[in-house]
Amino acid sequence: MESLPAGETAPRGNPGAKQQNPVRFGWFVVLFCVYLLAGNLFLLLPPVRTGFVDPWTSANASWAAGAARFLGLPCEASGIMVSAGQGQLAIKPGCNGVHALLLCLSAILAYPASWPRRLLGVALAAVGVFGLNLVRLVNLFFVADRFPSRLEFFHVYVWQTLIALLAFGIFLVWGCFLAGAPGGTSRTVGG
Amino acid sequence: MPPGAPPEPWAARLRSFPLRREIFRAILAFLLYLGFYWAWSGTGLHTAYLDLLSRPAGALVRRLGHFPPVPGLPGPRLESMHTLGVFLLAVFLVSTRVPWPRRVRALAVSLVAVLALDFVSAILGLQLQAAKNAFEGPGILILLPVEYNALECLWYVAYVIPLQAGPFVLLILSALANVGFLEPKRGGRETSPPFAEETGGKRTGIRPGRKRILALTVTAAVALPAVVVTAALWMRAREFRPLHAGAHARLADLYFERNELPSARTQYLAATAGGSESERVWRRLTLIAYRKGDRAEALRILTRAMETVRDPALAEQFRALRDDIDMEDSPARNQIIAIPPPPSP
Repeated sequence: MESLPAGETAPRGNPGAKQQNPVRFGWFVVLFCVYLLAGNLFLLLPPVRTGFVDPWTSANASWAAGAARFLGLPCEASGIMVSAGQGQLAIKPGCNGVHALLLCLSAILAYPASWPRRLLGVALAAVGVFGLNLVRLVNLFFVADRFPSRLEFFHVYVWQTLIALLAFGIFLVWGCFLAGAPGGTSRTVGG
Repeated sequence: MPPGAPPEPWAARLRSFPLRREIFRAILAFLLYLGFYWAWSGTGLHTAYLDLLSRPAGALVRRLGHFPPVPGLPGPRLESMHTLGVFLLAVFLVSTRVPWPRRVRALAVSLVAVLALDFVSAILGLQLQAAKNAFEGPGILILLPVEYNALECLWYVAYVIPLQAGPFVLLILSALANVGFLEPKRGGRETSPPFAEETGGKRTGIRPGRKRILALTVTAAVALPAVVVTAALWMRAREFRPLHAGAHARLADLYFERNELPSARTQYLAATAGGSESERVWRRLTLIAYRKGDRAEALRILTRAMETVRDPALAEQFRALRDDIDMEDSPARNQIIAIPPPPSP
């Protein structure tokens, strides 16, 4: 049996169980939803779209086209349009990794941790999500060139879920190893 | 979080998480999902599901739609729909640490939620597609720009965000369920076990029961009529927007050109009720009444036209026609009735 951390009381009939407030978990869920919704709506604002989302999308298209060329696929990017071999693709705002990062960001911000550790989590998520998104774009260029009929399957069903899987992994790794002790006081071991 | 704040045991539980096991479980769910998706689309179940959603959603869009179907345009079709239900099934199968009865119950509840979400996004998607087709085709604005933007925003919330966030949320919830965080409380309620233990069976959060039902009922009783009244007021107010009257007029032109005069008349009347001052609208409405042999209605329309249009020259033309409506050699009559102007583009 573990000793209770300071400040926690043993409940009646179960001395080993720790203090738990369900409202806190509910609060995490609520905050996650609010951050996610607000973030998505924020990204729809015209100034944000023209000032950040569109340039970032073009940059992603350009980097991914460069990577695809490096791997031997004739690829040319012009703004958000990419001609990849025989395929022609438009990189839309939802394909730039920002929305996937928003998932991680919402979960990390809603999680009870100190701000420096949250920022660390956001940085980790940004590197992971944007990195995987570039891999995704390069893969989609190859699919558009070689298997155009499979493009929707890879685009919507494989990569969308795979990026969510990555976001889930990043959040868990951050929560397990980097988020620090709850409330910044002590590290506890859950049962 | 302030340094002195009490620790949060659910967060502590995450820190002692069986990470490798749960990540392996998530990867397994993803692989199963790919297999299921292959079966789902390969056997035609995906198409059947789209049909299943399209029929009631399309019927509802037609029923609630303000405009009749635009002639010559195909009905809107659902092109794709996210496969959260398929992913849910995969997560259900890999959540082996959750007892079967709870797993089945969670699956059923989640599937109903996914179905409801898909249905709502199907309605919104079909309505938006119909509006887009009508605008890009014959140039009819069946939704005002503000309405289109509002519906698109709702569709974004109901379709795009769940498409991106759904798998993430499902994975988090299944991981928490698999480590026992969402175990049932004694007495059968679903909540966290430490919470149940610490309170000795008492509930301290928002509890279900009469209070909650009462609160929900009161909220629904206030919110639903408010939504209905607001929608009704908006529907009334939009009738007087020039763009909306223009949409009625353009639709009426299409019916008129197809010689579907009763439908054209209905739409022209709606356009004139919205304050349309279009010469074409009033002429054609008069012409339809005249062709029907309803001279009295033609005169009534011309009188209304004179009162409505602000252009004195046009009002004078309508007056001349009203005065000469029975004179076959009248230039005014021939100009307005015999040779109606072509529709504007």
